[in-house]
Amino acid sequence: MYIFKNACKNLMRNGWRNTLVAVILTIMLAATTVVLLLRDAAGAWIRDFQNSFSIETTMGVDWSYAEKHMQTQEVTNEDGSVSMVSTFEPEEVPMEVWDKIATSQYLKKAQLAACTGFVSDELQAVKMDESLSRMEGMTLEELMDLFGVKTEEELYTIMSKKDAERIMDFKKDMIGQIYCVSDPKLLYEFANGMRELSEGRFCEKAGEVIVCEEFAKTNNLRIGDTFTVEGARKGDHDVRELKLVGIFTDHYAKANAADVWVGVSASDMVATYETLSYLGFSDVYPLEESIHYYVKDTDSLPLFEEEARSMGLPDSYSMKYEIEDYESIVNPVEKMSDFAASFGGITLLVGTCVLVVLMIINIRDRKYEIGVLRAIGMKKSHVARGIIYESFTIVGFAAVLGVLLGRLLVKPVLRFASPSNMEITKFIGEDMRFTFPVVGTALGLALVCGIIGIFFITRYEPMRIFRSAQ
Amino acid sequence: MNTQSILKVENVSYHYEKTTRNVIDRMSAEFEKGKLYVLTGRSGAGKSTFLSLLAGLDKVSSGKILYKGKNLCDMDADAYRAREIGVVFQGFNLLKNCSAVENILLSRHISEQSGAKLDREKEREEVLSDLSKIGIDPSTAERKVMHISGGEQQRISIARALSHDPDIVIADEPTGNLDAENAHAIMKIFEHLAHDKGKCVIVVTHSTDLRSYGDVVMEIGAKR
Ligand SMILES: Nc1ncnc2c1ncn2[C@@H]1O[C@H](COP(=O)(O)OP(=O)(O)OP(=O)(O)O)[C@@H](O)[C@H]1O
Ligand SMILES: [Mg+2]
Repeated sequence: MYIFKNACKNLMRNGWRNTLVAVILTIMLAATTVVLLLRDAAGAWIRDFQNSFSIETTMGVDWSYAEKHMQTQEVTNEDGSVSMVSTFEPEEVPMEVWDKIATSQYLKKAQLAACTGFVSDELQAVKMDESLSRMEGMTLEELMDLFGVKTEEELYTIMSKKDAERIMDFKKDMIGQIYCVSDPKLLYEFANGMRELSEGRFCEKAGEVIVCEEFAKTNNLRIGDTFTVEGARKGDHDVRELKLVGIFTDHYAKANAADVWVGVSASDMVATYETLSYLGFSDVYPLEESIHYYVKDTDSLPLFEEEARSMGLPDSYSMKYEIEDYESIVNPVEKMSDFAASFGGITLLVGTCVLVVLMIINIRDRKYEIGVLRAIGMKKSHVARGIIYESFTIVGFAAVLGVLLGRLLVKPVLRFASPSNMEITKFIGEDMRFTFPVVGTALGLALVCGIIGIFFITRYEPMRIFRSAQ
Repeated sequence: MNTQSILKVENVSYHYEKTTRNVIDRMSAEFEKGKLYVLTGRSGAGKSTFLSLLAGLDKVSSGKILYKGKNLCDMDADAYRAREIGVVFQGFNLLKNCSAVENILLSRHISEQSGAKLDREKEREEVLSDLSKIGIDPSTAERKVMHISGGEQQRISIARALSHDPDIVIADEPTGNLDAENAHAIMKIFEHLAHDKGKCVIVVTHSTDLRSYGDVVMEIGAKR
């Protein structure tokens, strides 16, 4: 016990040197902590990135295909002249096909989107500009009037017969569309900040909707209100209840020609994709631009396309994607991690060298003291133990300080060191796993110091004390 | 053999490692309790070497040193130094960073570790009272040694040598750094230790002045 007490006292007595040693040790151990935490975080980030990595693909009409498959028609104009009109009518891909493609094994996930028109006894559309009116629900005459044409044939040069028939199949009092999207947050307008949730929350379950501020105002709707809707097609008579869970502001529309926009989309609602089947309306219009398939990896791309075609994707559609370069994203993080490791290694190496030198100087300086202790009968092993206690005490102190300091430093270091735009800091581990290697390092250092101490003590002959003082 | 004889040097020779010249050459002597021995000799005669042999700091090359009839070579030299012998050095050799009290306590703890029975309870008071007996007041005793005068340091180092109540006290030129007045005071302490406390005191000195204190004066390296 007295050996330990004396060791502690010695630490105090040799204040400045021990402070220096403690500072070096603390720096080394803090660096070790930082390196370990940083590598851990980088590894977690890479794993997370691997998990979330996918190639976003969309499918749309292939216009080069369209050009090759144009149909040319002779059209007789009003004045009797004849002109040639080339048209290409892309095949319609029904929602069922998009749904089916979403089940492909090559996908990590899929974002499905469709809209469906609605009417309601309880709701009113946002007031429209007089000059604007919804086409849906117009009669043939009204459509011809709208486009200023005299004959049906002329109308069909402007819009296809199929489209015209579809429009005419809507109820007259259609209010708007319900956009059903797998993840409403990822809907283009929300993802790009044109629309912003101003009240409540995003819809999560089937039957929940969010609406535009103007629509809520017009109908005096509050979060939590429920109302009923009906399909907008003439044949739909089932009534469904919807619940309002959020209200959004449309910044883009407000900044740009509000009069045009108001009425066109202000009466639309946004819901989750499940709401589409919950409603069960006969009018389902796939929102091809908003349908995204996330393919697992580059190799799966052609396989996925093949599968999609077999599931009903027509030849007139092509798959579009941008290959995100996996390597170019992961490599800098890996490099940083490796750099941190070598930096940590060098710090440890240099630090250990400095410590060893200090230790040697220390022992040399303390020869006198050791000589005295030996001369008054202290055993070599006890002197050695004293030195080991000293180094372990100081190393223990530095270990605690180093770990704490490392913890504090790792965030700023990581923020500074990591490639831009990569949020690696949130992957910094909170557990205490990393302390074990640090404590191990510390004990190793203490041992090295102790062994050097012992080496010098055993080589020191106490009888020199009789001469050293003279 | 004298019953009082505590240390016996029998035909001892010593040469340093890697040298052939005997620094101590077939020397014999006997040391008794209650006597003050003064060792003299010219510089380089081997006085310090001889003391280090007596203190068990080094082993004889040939011959033997007997402590209470036991060969020193067969004993635990550390324990021997810690319990049976007190050493006073020319340079005092106190731990400069420690106070007088700490120096002495450390020495006592080392002795205890080697099996000496000492009173742990009141050790500090004991040390302070011992020190005051040799003229070190408590405030000096608590000061770091480096801020204490040479004469005081020498007295403290004697106090340390005596702290575990050894039978033998050896001192290598204990007055070397002191003025005449202090030197005499120190020698008086040794005299008192030998004559009143019954210790065997062995002092090396150059000074012809101080030889007169010795009950026995021995010349080292005289016969060559
Ligand atoms: N480690 C050593 N190795 C070899 N020779 C040594 C060693 N130490 C001392 N000597 C030699 O041994 C001889 C005796 O030295 P010692 O120190 O015992 O003399 P001393 O009588 O104490 O002298 P002084 O009066 O100067 O203190 C000297 O000649 C010295 O040079
Ligand atoms: Mg000498």
